[in-house]
Amino acid sequence: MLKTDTVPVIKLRWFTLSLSIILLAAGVLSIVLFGGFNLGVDFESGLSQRIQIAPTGLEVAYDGDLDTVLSISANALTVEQRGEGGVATKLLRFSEYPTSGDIATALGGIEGISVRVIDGSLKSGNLLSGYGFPATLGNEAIGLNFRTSGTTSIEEFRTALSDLGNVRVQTVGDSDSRTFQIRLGIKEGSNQASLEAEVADALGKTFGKDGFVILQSDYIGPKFSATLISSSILAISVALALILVYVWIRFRFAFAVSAIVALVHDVLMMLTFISLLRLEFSSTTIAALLTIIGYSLNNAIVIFDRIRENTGLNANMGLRANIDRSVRQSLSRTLMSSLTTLLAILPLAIFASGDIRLFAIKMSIGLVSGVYSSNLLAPSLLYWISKAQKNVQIEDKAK
Amino acid sequence: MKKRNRLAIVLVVVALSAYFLFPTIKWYGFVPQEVKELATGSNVQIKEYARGQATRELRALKDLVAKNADAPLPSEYSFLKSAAKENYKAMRQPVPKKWTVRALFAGFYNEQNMFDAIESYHRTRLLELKALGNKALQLGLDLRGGMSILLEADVDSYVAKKGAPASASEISQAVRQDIEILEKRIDQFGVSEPMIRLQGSDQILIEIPGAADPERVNSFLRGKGSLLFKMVDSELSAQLEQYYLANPGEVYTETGALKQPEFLPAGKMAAGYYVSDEYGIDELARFVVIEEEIGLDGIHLESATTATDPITGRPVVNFKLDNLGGDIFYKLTSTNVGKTLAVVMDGKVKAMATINEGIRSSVQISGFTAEEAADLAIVLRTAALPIELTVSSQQAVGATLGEDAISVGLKAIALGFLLVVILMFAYYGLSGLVADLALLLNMFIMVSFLSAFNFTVTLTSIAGLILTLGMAVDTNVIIFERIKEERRMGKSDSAAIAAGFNKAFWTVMDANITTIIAALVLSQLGSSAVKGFANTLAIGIVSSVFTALFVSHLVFDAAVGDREGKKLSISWRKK
Repeated sequence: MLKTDTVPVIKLRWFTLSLSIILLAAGVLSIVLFGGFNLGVDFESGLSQRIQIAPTGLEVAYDGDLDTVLSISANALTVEQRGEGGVATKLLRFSEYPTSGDIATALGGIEGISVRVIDGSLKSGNLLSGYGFPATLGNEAIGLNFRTSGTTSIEEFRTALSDLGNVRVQTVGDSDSRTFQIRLGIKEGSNQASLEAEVADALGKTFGKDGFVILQSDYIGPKFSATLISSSILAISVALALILVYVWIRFRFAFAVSAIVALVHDVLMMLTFISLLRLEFSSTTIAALLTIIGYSLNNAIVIFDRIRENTGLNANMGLRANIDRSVRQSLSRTLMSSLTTLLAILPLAIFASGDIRLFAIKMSIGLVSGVYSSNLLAPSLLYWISKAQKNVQIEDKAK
Repeated sequence: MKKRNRLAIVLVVVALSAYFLFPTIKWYGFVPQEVKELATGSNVQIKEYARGQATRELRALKDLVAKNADAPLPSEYSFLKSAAKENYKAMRQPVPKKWTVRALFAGFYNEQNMFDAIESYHRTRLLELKALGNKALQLGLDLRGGMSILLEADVDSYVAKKGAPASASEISQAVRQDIEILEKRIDQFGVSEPMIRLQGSDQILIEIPGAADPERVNSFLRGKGSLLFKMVDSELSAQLEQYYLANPGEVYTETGALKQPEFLPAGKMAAGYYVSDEYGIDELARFVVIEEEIGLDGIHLESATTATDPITGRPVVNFKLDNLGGDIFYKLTSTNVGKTLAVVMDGKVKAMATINEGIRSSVQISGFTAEEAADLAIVLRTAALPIELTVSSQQAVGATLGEDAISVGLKAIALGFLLVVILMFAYYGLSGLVADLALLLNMFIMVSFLSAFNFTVTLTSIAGLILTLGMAVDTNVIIFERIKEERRMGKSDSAAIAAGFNKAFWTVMDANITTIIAALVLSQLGSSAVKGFANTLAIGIVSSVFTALFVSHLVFDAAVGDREGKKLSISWRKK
């Protein structure tokens, strides 16, 4: 740790300000250049699907009067049949039926169900349950897909969808998980069902009619995304206003304004990095933004609390020296807290996938920028505002 | 406050948390998967299961008594003992010391009495489990798989159909009726009960756990339920009632469906006449025999309303038929004057009325209470929603993806937790372990309060949980750094601890109050994903302040009090 008992915050204040302005300017520039954010499905109407390429092992059909439903969970396959009023359930545990062949035999034993075996050697534990499950069985056969090793390149996948026009494709996870995320805008006169059908048709031509599983399917209508944006902005503004009032009451006006400006800075900084790194702007981004607001506010308050305490104790030292001293005194706490939070977040940023991983990455960026703003920017702002207010209680004598 | 009182408060909080957490542990840890699936079914399904089970077990018991009446009662039927004991007492007979099959049978008035006892046992057990499941921590659709659909009222088509502009309250009223109808359709839907909720004034949010099948959802929205008008055979109905009364074990099949007795001629079928009980479950009132042939299909129905008969003042249901329907209905009613007509929905008789004359398009049925009339009007309307709905957004997650998300989330939490624990111990020594203890307690309190408030755990609430981990450590760090500073100034351990906690108090409060302001605003105004995060964060802040300011403080005081003269271990530096 530092051996000195001050951090030259005020000396560095012009440097701090310039760094923030340069970075934020870069952010604005990147937003202009890229033509806006890489908006997630929540914010941009359209269809978003996560699709895994997986071969069909069995095809199951049912011919009978009962309402027959097949569902797949992590360790079992269940067939539920409902008649005029009664329910009969058959549970096939994968531990008892380890291969697709075993499953086929057991399913075939249920009256009315016919099974066509395409590959009987697949492992039951690899059965995938996606969009369309639990499936209602009928005359038209339903394919059961199994996760298998093999690779499908993103180019191959993209080519399969090329007829649909402007489709965005991303890989999810390792290349051998063969999973892709696609995004499709709403076209004139299309709706959710027609978009889904178009995607299924296009993929069917390349990978076989049932050769893929739709793990997740999100459809967002145009009105929904507009409401989400306005409600998010409203929520953040109300939160900031209330925090301003609280800090104003507990501290002084200069503290409150500096804290809020530092928070707005953190929000803009995170948006800057989201734009620079082309990360997706989704509803979890809002959650990350809010967390960082809470977090860097926490940091700023701890430091401000120290500044207030020190100015009370050593009024003759002047604001400048007191700020430098307070930041130093809080430093090991600030670093330690940020480090532990970073440690808790990093496993998610590394191992998780999808939304939660994006959340963790954005959080990590926010944490670093929060440490910077609460230690350097917020105290500098406090210094400027206090100086500008002629009625500061403690005159800056040290200068 | 004395240490003993503080310890008592901590113990009360821990006990309370354990109490809240108990249903979650029991539900996820000790209820077998098959039973869980049964218990998460709709009330109607539970009833059907209990009935089927009762039929099966009554038959098995009858087999037993026929084979060897003096055999000891098998343990799987011992749940019947308590009911039998009460009957013995009511009959003023001594309760048998040894329970044989014969003794059990003697403890019931008749077969019906025994059937009811078995059915009630199974039903009560599942309903209790269902209540337990509702109290346990619920997983969100993104973790367990499922589908959420936001539907929006199609105001334009409503106005076009009506031919006049509609007021906002009128739209909202129609949307409410839609919800009522959709709820009535739940019975036909499947395993888990979907959640249907009004959002704003003209939107309906439907969440269906487990199912990500758009086909089923569409059929649910369209209402595949059948509504039919059929003629009742009164003579055979009376005969059927007699038969069932004499043979209570022959009423249902093993799957809980109504058994068709053999004496019914072809073209006639037995059906149950159901009325809604106070829980909204259809309660079987009696049995009737109806024609298999359909008198009139409900698709010809145009509208149904309730009204009061101007002469008798009794509630009536009016409904209108289209032209073709009117012709069919006229033919049916004019040839069956004096007979009874049944309204059959999904195989259940929901209403019966006597035909007084031939009726064409505008029909009035009377003979119910106001509530029954309103129910019937809803049943009749279920064929069509008052206001059409369009899909505003639809999100579906397959079960596989949900399971992956849970396992990754849990692993990441565990790893993050472990890293934090190690770092705290490495940096703060034994005091770090106190912080780790507080952290552990914090997680425990958080999860238990999440389940007590019935919050749903989603991906974002896992993120909130992890963030709270960091924040809880922070509170301890603020305090520890203060204690270290005070010690550097030369204070004794106990004085440094007292000063450290004192000086850190308002820092911790200010830092956490500002964050909780943000959390509370978000939990009120945010979108649903943000809400999950905010709720977790709010609970986490309260519990982390409690664990740090109260529990850690107590541990420090206790440790220093007992180890006078020894060094406080709060730094990795050897001094």
